[in-house]
Amino acid sequence: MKKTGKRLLAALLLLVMCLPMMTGCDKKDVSGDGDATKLVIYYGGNKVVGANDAEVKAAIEEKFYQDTGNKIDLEVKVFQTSDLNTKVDLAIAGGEQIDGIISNVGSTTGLDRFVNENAFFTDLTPLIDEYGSALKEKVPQIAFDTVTSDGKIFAIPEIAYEGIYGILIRKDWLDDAGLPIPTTIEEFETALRAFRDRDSNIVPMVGYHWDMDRVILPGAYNCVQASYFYLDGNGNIMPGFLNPNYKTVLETEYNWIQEGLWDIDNASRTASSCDNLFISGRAGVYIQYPEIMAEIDIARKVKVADPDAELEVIGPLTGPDGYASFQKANACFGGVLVPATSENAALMVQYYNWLVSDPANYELAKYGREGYEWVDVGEGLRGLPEGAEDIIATSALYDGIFCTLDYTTVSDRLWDTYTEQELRWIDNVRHNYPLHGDAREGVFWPDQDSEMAKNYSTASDNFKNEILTPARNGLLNTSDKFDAAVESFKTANADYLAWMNEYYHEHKPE
Amino acid sequence: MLKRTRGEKIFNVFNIFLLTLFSLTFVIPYLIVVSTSLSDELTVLRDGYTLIPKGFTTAAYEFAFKSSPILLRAILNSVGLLIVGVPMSMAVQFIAGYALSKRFLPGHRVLNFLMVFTMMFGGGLVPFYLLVRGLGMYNSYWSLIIPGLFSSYNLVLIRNFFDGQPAALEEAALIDGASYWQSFWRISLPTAKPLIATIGVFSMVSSWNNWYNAMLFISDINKYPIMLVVRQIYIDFNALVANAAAIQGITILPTETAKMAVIVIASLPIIIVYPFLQKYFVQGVMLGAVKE
Amino acid sequence: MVIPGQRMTFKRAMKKYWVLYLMVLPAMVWYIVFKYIPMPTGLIISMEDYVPWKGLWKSNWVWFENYIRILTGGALPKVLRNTLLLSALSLVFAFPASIVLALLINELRNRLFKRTVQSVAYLPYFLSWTVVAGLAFNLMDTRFGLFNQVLKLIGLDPVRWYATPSLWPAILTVAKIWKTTGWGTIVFLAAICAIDTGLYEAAVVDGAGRWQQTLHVTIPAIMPTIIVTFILSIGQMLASDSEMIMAMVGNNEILWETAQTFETFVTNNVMHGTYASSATLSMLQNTVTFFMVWGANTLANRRESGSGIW
Repeated sequence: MKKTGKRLLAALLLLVMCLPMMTGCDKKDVSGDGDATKLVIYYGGNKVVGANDAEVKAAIEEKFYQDTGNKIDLEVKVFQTSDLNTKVDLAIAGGEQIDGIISNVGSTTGLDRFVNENAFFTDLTPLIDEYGSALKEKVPQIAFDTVTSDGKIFAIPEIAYEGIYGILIRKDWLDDAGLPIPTTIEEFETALRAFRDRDSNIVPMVGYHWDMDRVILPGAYNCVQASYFYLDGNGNIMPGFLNPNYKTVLETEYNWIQEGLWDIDNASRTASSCDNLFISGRAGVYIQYPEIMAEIDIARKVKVADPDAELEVIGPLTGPDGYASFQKANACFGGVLVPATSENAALMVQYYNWLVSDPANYELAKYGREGYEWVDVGEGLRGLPEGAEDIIATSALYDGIFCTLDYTTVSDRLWDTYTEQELRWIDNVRHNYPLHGDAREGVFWPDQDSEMAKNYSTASDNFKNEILTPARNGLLNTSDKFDAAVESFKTANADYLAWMNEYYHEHKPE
Repeated sequence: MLKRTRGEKIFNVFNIFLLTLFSLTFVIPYLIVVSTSLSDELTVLRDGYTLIPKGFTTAAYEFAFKSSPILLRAILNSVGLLIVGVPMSMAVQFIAGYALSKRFLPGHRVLNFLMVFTMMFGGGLVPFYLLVRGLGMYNSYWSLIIPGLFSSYNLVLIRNFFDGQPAALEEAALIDGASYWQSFWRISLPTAKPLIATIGVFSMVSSWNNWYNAMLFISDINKYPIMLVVRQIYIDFNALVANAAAIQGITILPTETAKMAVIVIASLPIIIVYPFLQKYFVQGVMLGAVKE
Repeated sequence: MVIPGQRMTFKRAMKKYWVLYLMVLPAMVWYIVFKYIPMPTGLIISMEDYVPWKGLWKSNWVWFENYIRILTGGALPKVLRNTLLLSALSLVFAFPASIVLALLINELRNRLFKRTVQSVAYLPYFLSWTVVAGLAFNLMDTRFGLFNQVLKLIGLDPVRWYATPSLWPAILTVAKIWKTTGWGTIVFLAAICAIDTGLYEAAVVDGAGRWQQTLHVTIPAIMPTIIVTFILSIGQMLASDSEMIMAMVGNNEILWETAQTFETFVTNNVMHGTYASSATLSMLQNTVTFFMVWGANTLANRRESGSGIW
């Protein structure tokens, strides 16, 4: 290199060496102004800015002050779920104030990563003992277990409905074919065949394979969805896909595709295409995200498109051995974690405790001020205040951002616009259907990085690719390979399964 | 006037046919988006995307603007960022590219290498974030302009262009005592019109499409650029649909069509501007510039 | 411009060329601040069990553990193969497609038609992959999609597009070509404009027809641009268009056989410690990419000095 080139390079390198020191921490201490303590909460989800957010916030803070004598200044930052982790991490790296992170438990993109080896949470156990009496009363133990790791409570849990699914079906099509509402798998198959024969352009059932797992098949054969866990005959905890009954699920799925009873493109059809088919009257059963509120929304759209259509939400189908159930959703999907650097853990616990201590508080934070954002119309329902219909058509008055967690044991007011039929559906879904849940619920699983964990993960992927996926897409009936594959999986991963079983029995909820 | 051979005539027909076919495949999807945005929501929910508007209505656009009052503001923000950022960016890149193209400049190879090296190695998000904050650009429009001022890709193109210019072009002026700056401004740059148009388009599109920096650094929603709002709108619409259960009677919010409308709104300005730039993509700029 | 016999010292260089150095100064300052200062951090993170709350200096130092974990992860060979195949197909087909399209457009005589084609060619670039994937599904829907309807018309069996992994390198490449070719022509059309028309006149005088003009005037004249763009494209070889793949393939596990690339693999199997993992992955990708680009650049410079990117 020429000498001047070298000098230039040296000068630049020197500069480069010195300057990384600049990327140090930028400690910003933002406490509330005046005597109100600022609480900064990060939330990832679908919430919109409401027109009356500021007034609701003032009302909440005012009532909280009157009830507890604490002045707080709530700041809830709402992000898209995919952006939440980035924003949280950058805020932490920049030394900004964070008092609460609201996310799910049980996945590496949720709260788990704050709890594993590199712990970064405030242990809330003593605080909940001191300030959380209402929480302990209203939130069942299983929810607390979900957010407890090594005896430490790492997040304030929420509590949601465990029954959330239903099967949406075209009742008028059943009537046309002279069929009753299906209650067994056989009757359901008959109905699907009748739907298929109505017209060559009909797809009898639309939904993804995980939707099938949730509401149609595993429950009828006494097993759980592939991603859940179950207790086998010996009391050992095992993954759902190793359950011998799951073989029948796969075989049925394969046959149904061959017969044209289930969407052949179920793995790739876009959600809006599923909606298109059902709303235009070219599908008879809709289970694409079979959650009851979403299904009611779709049902309404069908009725607008075709006022003569009749729909029904039905319960789980019974299998040949008499089993029937929907998958049970976890009672507690997550909660709010208070980072280790927060100085306001006590206040956070107090706030959430205050929310659940009185339905009035919860409703204020979740729905808004009574009379302004909603009106009490009796029967535990709420309605829109005068003149709000126009606003709701394009935005929201208040979307509940100051209480994004559910506490269904405290209050749950549906809108009064639900018809009797819809209310009946909701009631059935929430209370009347048998449910079959994940045996691992309530146990917090640590991050696993060992050799055997990696092997297990790879083996699971292989099992999925070879046995599960081909059947689910109608490519191959893998039920004859199933038993052998299960045996070899168990043998190859015996160490991991043994460890998992041991850990489970040590930590399982009482 | 050249006599066209038969081969050339066949080629012309074939070429026109081929390019028409391609053009159709390019245009049709965009037309589908536009038509869907002008269609009735229920029809779209029932039948999916459509090539011709069915049940013509501008409800989607009304809904988009009403439910997202910052939409218009965001467009203005993005236009403002273009007006300030693109000339700045082009100015600094052109002078740098010109200087880097001079092979006799001592240290020239080192500088070029260092500039290109950054295309392949980067530092990551956290230090970048801390850096921009440390420089005081948090929640400021500058955080959207300054980190995007240079692109090694552009610099390479500019540098190569000036490198390819015959030395004779500037020699006369330099011998007469002009400085490099004057030579650049009066001689080199005017011959670079197609390049200026190209880099201009790249800079504009890059500035217009950028949402990531805004997502990181802008907390005031009134400062959001258009693409960030577009991205946010998808989520907002889903949330509004959930709220729609509150409405008496069966109202279907035009969210699917509004999603298409927002895409059109966000892409229209750039699509309209480009054809105007095309007059700079004209051949013959070099004609007569150098007399050997 | 060097006076023979006189060494070009730093001082002399500054005095003589100070204008040029000044012109380059904003760039150098910017690059140092925004690129070189953050640069060592990527390397440091890849060697740590990095968590944002411990920061750069307090996270556990693990040396090359992260690298070993990624390189010995079971799915790596398959993922590597997919990534390279997709990139290679893109380089072999999408790259020349832009050049060919630019040349074809250049041959149009009707100005209005020419400008129209130029204006619509880049429209696909402005549609997001989500929208494109939705439209693509409407085409490849096994029962109702356009492709299979056409196949039925000519008497062939329908194809299960979304269940045949072997088709997907081709499908993704075609989708990529469709979306990016028009945009890619911009740089070549600009280069064509810059060609001295005198060269064409000379060629005509020598009796060259249109094809020969293209072969002997146009292509050689834009060759420097082609080479530079090609080398820059090599810089993209180990990256993959994860936005495209996420949108087109989504959760369809059958297709992961051929469609899962590095980045989607990392996203789908969020490994312990995402930051360290993605930093490590980036370091690996970038290092290999760097050597490939260096190789290509050296070859280009050997063929004709200065035609590389540095």
